[in-house]
Amino acid sequence: MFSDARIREGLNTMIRGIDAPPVTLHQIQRKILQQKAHPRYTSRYLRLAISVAVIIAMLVIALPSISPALVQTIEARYRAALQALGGIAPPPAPKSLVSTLSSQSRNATLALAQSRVGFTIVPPAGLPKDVVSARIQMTPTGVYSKVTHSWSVGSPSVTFSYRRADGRSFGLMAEPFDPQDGPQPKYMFEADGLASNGQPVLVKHEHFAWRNGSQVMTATQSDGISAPEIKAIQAAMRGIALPRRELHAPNTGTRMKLYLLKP
Amino acid sequence: MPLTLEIGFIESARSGGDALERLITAVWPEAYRIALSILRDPGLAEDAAQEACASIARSLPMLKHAGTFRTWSYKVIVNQAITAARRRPSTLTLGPLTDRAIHFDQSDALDLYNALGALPVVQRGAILLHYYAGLNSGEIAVATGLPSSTVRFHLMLARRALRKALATTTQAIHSSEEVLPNVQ
Repeated sequence: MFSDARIREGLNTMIRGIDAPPVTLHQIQRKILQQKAHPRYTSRYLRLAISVAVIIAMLVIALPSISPALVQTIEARYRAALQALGGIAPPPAPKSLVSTLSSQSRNATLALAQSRVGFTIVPPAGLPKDVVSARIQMTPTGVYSKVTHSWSVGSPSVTFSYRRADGRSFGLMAEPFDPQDGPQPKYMFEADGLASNGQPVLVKHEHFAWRNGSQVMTATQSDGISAPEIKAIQAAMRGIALPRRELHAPNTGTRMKLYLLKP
Repeated sequence: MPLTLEIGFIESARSGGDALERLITAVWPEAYRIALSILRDPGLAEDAAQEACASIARSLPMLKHAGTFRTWSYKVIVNQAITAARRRPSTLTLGPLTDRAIHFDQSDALDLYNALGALPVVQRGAILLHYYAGLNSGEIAVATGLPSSTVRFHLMLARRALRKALATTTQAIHSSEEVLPNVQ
């Protein structure tokens, strides 16, 4: 019988017997740039929500202006999360698209927002009692087609952003109902830094979607709003809950969306 | 002991530049050897080792204690190799034992190389992390994302397979030695 010591010694000998080719620093450098470090953002407004369904990316950026570089950094976090989940991430949105979307992001009144979208807006109801301020924003959307493999500007959505008495904030997004979008994801994932094994640490957030007429409203549980609070809003609006996809259900959608939100 | 680097060397590499390049150069041979032991394909091993070195370079500033660099880097290397193996399952065949880049001067090493190649990829990784990098089952569980009990089970199966392979080879050698004098 062979002892652990002999196995250990044998493995040491075996590995030492393998000649390594010369180090290719330029190749490694290229890979470092490809998997560029994803900085940790501490702002509670900054969220990159990831799902593996049709609607997969949501960017909430707490900056006075949206920088294409920042968007691409956050997209990198998104791609890391999606790839860690086994999904296929779209290529980065072109800077020109991000600039176009950024210029369309603005605050609005309910009437102005209604005039800019193609669905009937049903405003949120049943909000948490400690909401102290609200804001409506036009939310430009980028769409990546998995058929044509290209990015384009999509129909705008409307985001209702709320601030709570304790400083927390949350958002609810209204967009047109499209039966081709397929089931909504049950969870959104955020790549939050890297684990010791170099893989992204994924943070899971429950995601809700309900329909009122031609509008779909979505909300994702976060430190700004809990799942029961979202369910209370849905109930108060008498929204019809849309079917949700389980984590490992296949993604049947042909589109991926990217949202730019500015507080 | 392989991959044992000075704390100061690792600390200085955190700031990048030449120091980081020197660190990657020091890690590279070990990354390649481990990757090849798991993947058995020089091309795949080189790519996985490059990915591992890139991950190490990228994540080094986030490593809390430079003293844990050795075990941490082994985890990164083994995980990258396992990921590469999973991406391309069709390439998980045994590599040629007579590869020019592999020189074993002891029969145990060659037998182990063969026996290791017969194991599933995760077991190869677990065996290397345990016997070569010196990680216990709990640390391997954290590194591979598997439950501790599963790691222990993999290790038990792998250990059994390795011992059996080595015993069979040794028995065959002893049998040959017994027969040879009679032939002469």
